[in-house]
This record gives sequence, structure tokens and C-alpha cells, in this order.
Amino acid sequence: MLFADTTGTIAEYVAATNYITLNTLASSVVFNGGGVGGFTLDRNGNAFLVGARAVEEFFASSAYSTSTSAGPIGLNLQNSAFIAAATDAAGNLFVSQDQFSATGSTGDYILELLPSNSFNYNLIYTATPPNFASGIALGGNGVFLSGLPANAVSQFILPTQVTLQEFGVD
Amino acid sequence: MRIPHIVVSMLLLLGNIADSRAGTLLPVGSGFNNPLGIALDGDGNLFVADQGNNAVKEVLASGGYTTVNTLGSGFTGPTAVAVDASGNVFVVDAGYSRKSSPREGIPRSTH
Repeated sequence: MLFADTTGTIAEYVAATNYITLNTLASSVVFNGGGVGGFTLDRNGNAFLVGARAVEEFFASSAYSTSTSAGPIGLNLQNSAFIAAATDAAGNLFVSQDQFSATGSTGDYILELLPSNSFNYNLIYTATPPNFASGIALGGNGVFLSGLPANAVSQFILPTQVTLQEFGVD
Repeated sequence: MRIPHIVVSMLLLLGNIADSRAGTLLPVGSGFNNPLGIALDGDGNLFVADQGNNAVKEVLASGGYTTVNTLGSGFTGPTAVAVDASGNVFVVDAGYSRKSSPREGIPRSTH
């Protein structure tokens, strides 16, 4: 079981030893002076760590010893607290937190980071006034959020995708 | 006259920006107190680290996420949950001061 903690450590408890063996894979990962706020894996085992104003992808192929920035230019996650991340089956990264700011306003946000587009992002949900957005999970029934609004869990059903053909007008 | 695809693409892009709030937000269960980490299992059931209630809860997908079951007992401020492929639930519980171990695993077959 792979995990990351707020000190910037990526480590794994090894299932084959009944979770007794602990391997530290990376340490002291720091995001602009802050710790790790959110962590998730994609379908290939690559680890995404989210922190203050940054997203970093650590590669499973190098045992998490190499990484690259996965955050688009302009991404402004405000702090490392209450950030959550999850990936969908296509490898897109979803990030939620309570103080993202792209335009100067703050609130609760869900961002979809697109690896196929240099991790540029879609802003798929906003809510004001700010509340905690401390957990996120993805499934066939939509995006689930904890703490939005406060002391609640919510199910966000993504807008239906529209195909190009539907816009073809002769 | 057919609209060029480049124009359609631009319209879709603008539409994505304008419709960024067009999704539907629905409540899931009730009675949570500072819910933090959440996770889904393969059947779409949702598991919640309900920190303020010192509990780990399961919200069943069947019935539209209205039925809430409390799992296990003895948690002290759980903050995160994960579910493996077999349906075992792993809990980060601040009261234990460690990340996870089989002791915190909750086999789904027991409830």
C-alpha cells in the first residue's frame, strides 16, 4: 500500500509481508515551503502529490526516484491543507480544495488536470462561500466530495459530454 | 452551410468554461461531522472517514447513496480511508498514530 504524508515522504507498506515491511521511496518533498496536501495514484502506479501551488508526478518506473511537474502554468493552489486528488480511468487527475484561486476569487473548486494537454486544467466546479473540500473520489457514478458543504458528503455528476457531430449543421 | 470543426471546437471550449458549474451536486448520506477522506469500492459504495464522529462509514450505492452503515468501532479521529481490490478497507486513524495496517483493515465480509 503506497502512501504519502505531510512531511513529504512517499512510502509503501508491502502486502507480501502482511504490511510489516515499510519501504521509503522518497522523502522531504516540499511544495513552495509547504507539505503534501493530497496524494493519489494513476492506473499505471505513478504517484501524484499535490501541495502549495504545485502538482508533482513521481514515476513508478523509476521506483518514484524521478518526478516532473504536473501542474499547469497559473495553477494557484493556495496551501497544502485540505487538498485532495484522484485519477480517473483515462489518467486525468482531479484536484479539489477550498482555496484555489485562478482569478482572484476563492471558493471550493474541482479541477480536472489533463495529461494529454500538458496538464492544462478544466475548472469543473466552483462553490462559494469557501468550505472544506477535503476528500475526493472518482467512480462510475461521478465525483464524490467530502466536506462540501461543511459536514457533508456530496456526489457531483459531471455534465454530459457533447460530441462534435451534434453541432454539425448543414 | 456546415459549421467548420475549428469553429465548433472553439464553441465547445467556450461552452466548457461557461458550463463549469453545470453539473449536478447531490447530497450523500447524512449525519457526518467533519468528513475527511473518502474512497469508493468496485461496486460504487462510498467509504467515509468521519473524523468528528470517530467513525468509519459506508454509504451504499444501491438506493442512491442514502443508506449509511457504521463500520467497526474504536476509531479516534480517522482521517483517511482506502479500499483494496478485495474490498478490505484501510483506515488512517489519528488515535493509533500510524498510517495503516491490517489491524485497521475492515473486511467487508464482517458487516
